[in-house]
Amino acid sequence: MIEVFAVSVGVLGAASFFLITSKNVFRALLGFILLGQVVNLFLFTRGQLIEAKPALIPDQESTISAVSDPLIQALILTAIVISFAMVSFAAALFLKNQKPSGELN
Amino acid sequence: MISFISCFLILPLIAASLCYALERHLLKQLGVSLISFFTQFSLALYLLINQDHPLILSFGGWPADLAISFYLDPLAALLVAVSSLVFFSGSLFVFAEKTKNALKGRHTFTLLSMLQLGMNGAFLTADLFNLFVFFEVLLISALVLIVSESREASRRGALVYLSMNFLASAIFLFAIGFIYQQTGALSFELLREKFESMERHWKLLCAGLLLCSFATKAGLFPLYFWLPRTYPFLSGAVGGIFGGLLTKVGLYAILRLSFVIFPNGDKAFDWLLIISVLSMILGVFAAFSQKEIRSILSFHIISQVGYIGGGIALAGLSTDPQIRSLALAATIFYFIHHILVKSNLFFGASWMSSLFKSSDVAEIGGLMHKLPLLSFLFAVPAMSLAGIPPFSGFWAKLGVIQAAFFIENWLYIVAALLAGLFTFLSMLKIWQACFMGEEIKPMRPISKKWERLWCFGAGFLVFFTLILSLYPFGLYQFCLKAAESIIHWNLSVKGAL
Repeated sequence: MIEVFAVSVGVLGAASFFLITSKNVFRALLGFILLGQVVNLFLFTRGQLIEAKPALIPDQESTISAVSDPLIQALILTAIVISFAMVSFAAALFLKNQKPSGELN
Repeated sequence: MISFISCFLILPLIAASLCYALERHLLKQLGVSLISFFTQFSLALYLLINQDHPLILSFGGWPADLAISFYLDPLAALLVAVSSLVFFSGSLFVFAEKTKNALKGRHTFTLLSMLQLGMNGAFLTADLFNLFVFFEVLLISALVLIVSESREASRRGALVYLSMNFLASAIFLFAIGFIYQQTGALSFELLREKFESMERHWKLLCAGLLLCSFATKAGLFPLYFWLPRTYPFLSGAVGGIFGGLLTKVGLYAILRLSFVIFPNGDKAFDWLLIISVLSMILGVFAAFSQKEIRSILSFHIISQVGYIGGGIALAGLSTDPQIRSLALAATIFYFIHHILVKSNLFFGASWMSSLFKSSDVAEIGGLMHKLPLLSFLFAVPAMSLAGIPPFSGFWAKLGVIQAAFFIENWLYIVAALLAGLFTFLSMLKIWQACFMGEEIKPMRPISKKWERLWCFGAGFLVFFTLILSLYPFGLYQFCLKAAESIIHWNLSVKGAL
């Protein structure tokens, strides 16, 4: 499981840096969107990756073990909202600065 | 009981929503903003003087180390007070520019209050992820402020600023991920304990990623190139607030977290020292070669940020706890002095450029005869930045150089003296060209009302600069208190609530 995540973080990260350095507005924007996702994926691997067990304490027990860390998921949720706001702002800004050829001004 | 801390988060929010509702009434917006900023200033000052132990606000009734807490210690109170001052006189300049239609956008006051919310949050939070969230609040308000002027140059500046900060935020999140995985904690209090037992290579990785992200926000070498591309193109009033405060938030994060990660000093501070010295020297050389007032001032920011970063590094490198708090206190003194002086200089550049429709030093001249009072109000921060005794800049520089002398760090001393000399020379250049020389281009006529408004805004900050200059020991005591609070970070002290 963790290997899949590692490879996708690496590949997507490389792709996002490639896109951000491009001069085309649309590509740069895509790069930023990808970068936001890469960070979220990375954060996801920081809680343990354990399948199919909710982080709820069952009846008759007082503790719970072997679940993934719910705090990390809360962090990712916040990060998604923030990066969405940033990306939409960036999109508006990029469109305003665009030259007809699609290059950044 | 409502804790005092929440006032610093709720007041800006209330002010922002009121300003938004009073969209068409500029004067009322100004009034609301001034009241909000002044209340926060007095409250922070009151807490700074009367509070023996730090205030803690933990939401949800969790114990302080588990909950997401806000934490008000002398350092945070000091910074909140000083930033409220800058916002106060900044809103007067914003008003002056708006009545002359130099500043478009109807929501400038709303955005200023939101900017202050982000800043207060960043100063007060005791949680790493919360710091990230407040950085983003700050960033988005700053960006909208830049763009709402809808000048092409400032839009282009916003692009650079946005891209750099997007990358910095991504790096910050990576750092948070690593830190959380290694320690299982995000609150500063717990992190401090856990970092002591962490393996050194993990520690260095986390510290390096954080430094990368904060140095971008602070404008340290080599990540400063966004700064001179953004600040000179802002409108004067907004530029002043940005120039004085935005880079300081990044520096504050470095200041606070350095001693969370390395509570006992570490050789790793050498890296911070090297990049600080480089930005000190390169910034001032670049400033020396500029012709535009605000470009000169922008490059000076980079150089001054170097002084402060270097001061933090010196404190980290010293092994003697007494010398460490001395170095930290000197750094914090520099911090405060620089916020006041730099904003005031940018405000000065703003009225100059609106008088001459240009801020090229070659086109401005003879201000000393025309506007003696405003010239005096520019001269005080200018001399202070240059470090002429007895102004506050002299005491600030004396403090950090003395600290370097105790630690016997000759690199810092030589660099600080050299940068100080060139700062002096480039301020002299502005003074000679703009104030002493003959009038080159005809000045646009100004009404008494604007002149009074400008004088009041600048005079307000000059007043505090003069207090620092004539009685540096007063602030220095608070700085020592703040330095102690950085080193002896302790959430378990029970404050209010």
